[in-house]
Amino acid sequence: MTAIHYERAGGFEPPRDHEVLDIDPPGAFTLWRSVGWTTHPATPVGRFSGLLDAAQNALLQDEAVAAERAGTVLIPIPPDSPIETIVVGQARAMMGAHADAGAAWGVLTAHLRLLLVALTQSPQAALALVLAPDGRAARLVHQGSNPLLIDLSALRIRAFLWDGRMPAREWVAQGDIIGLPDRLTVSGGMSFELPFNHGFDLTYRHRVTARVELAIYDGATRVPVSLCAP
Amino acid sequence: MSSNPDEPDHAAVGPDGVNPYLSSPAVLRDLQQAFGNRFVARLVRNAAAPPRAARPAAPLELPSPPMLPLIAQDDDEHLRPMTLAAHLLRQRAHNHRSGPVLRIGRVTAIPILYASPNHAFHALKGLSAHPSSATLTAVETDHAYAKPVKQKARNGCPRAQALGGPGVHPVVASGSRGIAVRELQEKLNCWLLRTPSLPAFGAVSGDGAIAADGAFGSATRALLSAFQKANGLAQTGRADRATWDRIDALQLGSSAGTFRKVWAQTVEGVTFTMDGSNTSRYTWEINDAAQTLTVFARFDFVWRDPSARDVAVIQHLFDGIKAAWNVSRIVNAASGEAYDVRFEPLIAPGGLRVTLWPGNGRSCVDHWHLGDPHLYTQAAPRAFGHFLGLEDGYGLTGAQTHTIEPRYLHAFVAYIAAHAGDPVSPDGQCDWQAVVTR
Repeated sequence: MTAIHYERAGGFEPPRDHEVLDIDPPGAFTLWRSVGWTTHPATPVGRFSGLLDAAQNALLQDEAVAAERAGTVLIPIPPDSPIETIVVGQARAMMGAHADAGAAWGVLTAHLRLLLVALTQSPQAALALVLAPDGRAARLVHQGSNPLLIDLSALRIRAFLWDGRMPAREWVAQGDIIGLPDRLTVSGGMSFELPFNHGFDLTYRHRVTARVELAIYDGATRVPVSLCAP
Repeated sequence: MSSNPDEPDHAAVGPDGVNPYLSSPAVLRDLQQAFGNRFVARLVRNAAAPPRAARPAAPLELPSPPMLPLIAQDDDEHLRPMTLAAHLLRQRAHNHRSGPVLRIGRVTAIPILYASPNHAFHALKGLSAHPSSATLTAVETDHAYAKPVKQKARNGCPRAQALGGPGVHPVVASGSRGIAVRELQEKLNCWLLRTPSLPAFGAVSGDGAIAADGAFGSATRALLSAFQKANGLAQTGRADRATWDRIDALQLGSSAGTFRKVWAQTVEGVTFTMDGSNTSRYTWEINDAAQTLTVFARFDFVWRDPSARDVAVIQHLFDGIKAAWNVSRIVNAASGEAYDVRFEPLIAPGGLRVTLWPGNGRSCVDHWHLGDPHLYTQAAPRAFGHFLGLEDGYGLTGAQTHTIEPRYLHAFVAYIAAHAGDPVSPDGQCDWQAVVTR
């Protein structure tokens, strides 16, 4: 039985990835997500925690033991890639976020990448971006049992108009656009609408996606985050 | 004289079959001083021979089905469909080789070096209407190929540190085709001209310069073997690493070439690399007629979701790359020459391997997420800079899209200048500078 530490950091476009997952031997986990769209599908950001079910944790532990037995690996990292670092016991793996480490490390890494999405189903203090089905409204929604301090001073809202498979237009709103204080604490599933008057002319072949950048607090640490929807 | 400078001027051949220009003792003396007696003797001998028929120009109208222009089947741009613009540029370059427009400058030598002595004759013949001073200038400029590297530093000329090391030429041998072969042929011709006593290899057609047609045939092999023998190299008959190193050391010039290097940079203790199938690489070509330097980078896309395969997406990606990168010229402060720099991404098997993912995700240099709206304007253009061999920090960051900085482009410019035969000091100083025009 061993503790597993997974971290993904970097990427050229700010805010950079800062995704951290820790799983202790019994299967209790804590997860921090900063960039919701760095995985597919996109997820909420913030703090998540919970307990893996026994079968999944047993499988994960088997994979971790095999990876530790394989020893430390370093796979060349391509430019601009976020860097994944995985630590199990005395062994460590470092690679790019798309790398296939092969063998034992490859299996463990693939599993952890899936958990990076799946474990956001257990929010502790998180924030989600929800886009209306018609693409004309967007709102931020608090998730979890704990309050979350958010910083709107650098709020930036983007809407993208997609024509078929390709982005056709981008709309950006930033600054003091929401009429709320720069810092506020959200809790209890509260939500608030974002200004989203992009003015796109939507037809049957068009769709809208949204991306929002702001900062949230992890304890006393201010962390820039980015959300996207859908 | 022909009204079309691209056509050989047969009328300049006198009734006795000898170019009257070459009967001038003053001109012959100048040529002898520049190139040596043997070269001039060969010129005069071939001047009496019937001129080789000009290669007919290919039709300008090209079929351009929607998917065709993006596809290049392999490394041989001579034979493969490319973008229409690239094809037209190449066609003009070809016409230029068949009947060159002679200019005063570095590239004046190219038409002379390109082809057999018959072609050389036509090229020189075009000078007959010029005063001898212009003729001399042209020849002297040509002779600049043999000059040693300048070690002087020029004020305001940035250093080429960002390139991070020399490029590696591909090994070419009998049967090879493409830009690398053409580069080899031009450089061997260049060596041939500067070598006072030619080795008796004999098999080279016309007993002189070989055709720089991008096809490695028997003439190229013979001349290459002669080069290897004269330079104390193993006569392998193929341009291997040792041969290319020697060619580079001699600073032989060409109007086209290849670039390939393992990309590596250490940032904050972490080393990022592009190696294996994804070394930085491109081919380049100078077109004097169009005043352009065109850089071709080839991509080999892997679709994670084959059902999403869409050539319009690729076109959109390429448009984004070109919008970001086709914003510069290179200018020679000493000569006043200027060339537009054009980057042409292409699809080609064996090109730079990029995996295209559906949906969201953080794109990096060789994994692009099609659902990332900034892929087209930021991530892909930025990756393209790495494919050019540039190190991080050339300006295409998320917050600074479309701000390519000349000081980073200079590394790229210096590499091409060096391989085109221009003097470049070991620390990257040269007469050429990149100027961002937008």
